[in-house]
Amino acid sequence: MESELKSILEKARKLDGDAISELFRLYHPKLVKFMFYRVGGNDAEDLAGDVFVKLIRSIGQQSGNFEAWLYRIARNVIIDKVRKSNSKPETEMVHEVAERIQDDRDDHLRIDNMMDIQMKLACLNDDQREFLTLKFIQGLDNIEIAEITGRSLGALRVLQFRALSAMREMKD
Amino acid sequence: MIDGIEKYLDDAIALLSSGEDIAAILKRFPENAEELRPLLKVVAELRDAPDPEKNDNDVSLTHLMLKALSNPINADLSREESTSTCELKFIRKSLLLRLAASIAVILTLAWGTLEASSETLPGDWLYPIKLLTEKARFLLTFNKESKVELRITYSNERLKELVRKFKAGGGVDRDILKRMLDEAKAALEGGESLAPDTKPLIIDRISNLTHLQGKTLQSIKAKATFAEKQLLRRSIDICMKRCNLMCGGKARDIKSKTGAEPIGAPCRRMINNCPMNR
Repeated sequence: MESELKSILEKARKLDGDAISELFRLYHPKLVKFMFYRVGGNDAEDLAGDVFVKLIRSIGQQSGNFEAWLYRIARNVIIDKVRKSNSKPETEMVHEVAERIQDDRDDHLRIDNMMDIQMKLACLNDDQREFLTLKFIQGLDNIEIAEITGRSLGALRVLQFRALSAMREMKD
Repeated sequence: MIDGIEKYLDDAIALLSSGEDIAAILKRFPENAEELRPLLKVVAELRDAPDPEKNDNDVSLTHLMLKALSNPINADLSREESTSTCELKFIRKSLLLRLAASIAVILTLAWGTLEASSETLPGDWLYPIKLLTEKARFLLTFNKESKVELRITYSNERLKELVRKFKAGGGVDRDILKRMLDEAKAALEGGESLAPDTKPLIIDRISNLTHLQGKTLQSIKAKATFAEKQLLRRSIDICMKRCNLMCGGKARDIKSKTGAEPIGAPCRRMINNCPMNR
C-alpha cells in the first residue's frame, strides 16, 4: 500500500488527473467522516471539499508523511472556519441534532449511535475532540498525531487519558 | 489517579489495535483493570463510529479541481462583487421587513387584539397574529442582548403552548416543539456572541430554561402515546445535551467576576439532582 501511495503521489504532484482521482477516492470519504465528527454534519462535505482544493493547490510541494500533511491542512481549514463563524463547532454540533427530529425515515439505531458519539465529542474541549477523532475515528497513531499537532508523545498520552476519561463520565 | 496510568492505557490501546480483545488485555494489567476497562470500552465505541450519511448533492472532483486551479485573483473579485450585491439586497429586504413589521404592530394595537392573542394556541384564528406580533417586536429590537432575551421569552412561550395544548387533549404538537427548540438554539447562538460581562448571565438563563424544558417534556412523556414518546425522548436528549454543553464544558472556563462559584454551578447542581439525568 505504501509503495502504491508513493507512486500515486509522484503522479499527483504533476497534477495527473488519474492520480488525483485516486487520492480523492481514497481520502475524500475519510475527510468527510473526520469533519463530521470534528465539527458537525452540516459543514462536513464543504470542509472536506476545501481541504481537497488546498491539497490540489499544494500537492506539488508535499513531502514526508502524506496523511500527517493532509490532516494538517484539515486542521487549518477548521481553524479558518471557526475564525469566520460566530459560534463554536461544538455548539453547531449540538444544535444540528434538532434538525433530525422531524425525519421519520431515518435508520433510528444507526442515527442514534452516530448522534450519541457526536454529542459526546461535542461536549469535550477542542484538543480532546481533535485527538480522539484523529486517533480512534481516523485511525492515526501517536507519532502521526504528534507530527500534525506539534505535541510531544508524552503530552499526547496525558491528553488521551483525559479525553477518554471525560467521555467515560458522560451518561448515555 | 494511578501513577503511570497514561502509559498503561496507551499500551493497552496498542494491544487493542493489534486485535487482542479487552478481556485478554485486562489480564495483562490486573492492578489497573478496573480503571482501564471503561476507557477501553470508550475506545471500542469510537472505533465503531458509523460513517455519516451520504449526501445526495455530493461535490464532484471536477468541481474541486476547477476551483483549485482557477485564478485566485478572479475568485477574490467575484467574491467581493457578490458580497456587495448581497449586502444591498439584504439592506433593502431588511428595511422592507421592518416597515411591514411596524405597520403590523400599529394595526394590531389599533384593533386591540394584542392581549386577546397572547393565550391562543395553533388552530385559533388569533394565533398567526400572535406570531406576527412576536416577529415584529423582534425586528424592531436592535440591541443584541434584548434580541437574545426575546428568543428566551419566545422559547418559553412555546413551552407554555405545548403544555396547554397537551392538557387540552391536543397531544404533543410537533411544530410547537420544534419552534421551542429552535428558539432556544437561536438564543444560545446569540448569547455566545455577547460581550464577556453579559454573556455568563444570559447563558445561565438559557441553561435554566433548557433544564425546565427538559423536565416539562419528561412529565408530558409519562402520559404521551407511544409515537409521541419517541419524539419526546429525542427532545429531552437534546435538552440534556445542551445543558451539559452549557454547564459541563463552558462552566469550567467561565469564572464569575467576584471569584465565587463558577457561573453554571447552580445548573450543574440541578443536573446532578434532576430525575431525567438518572
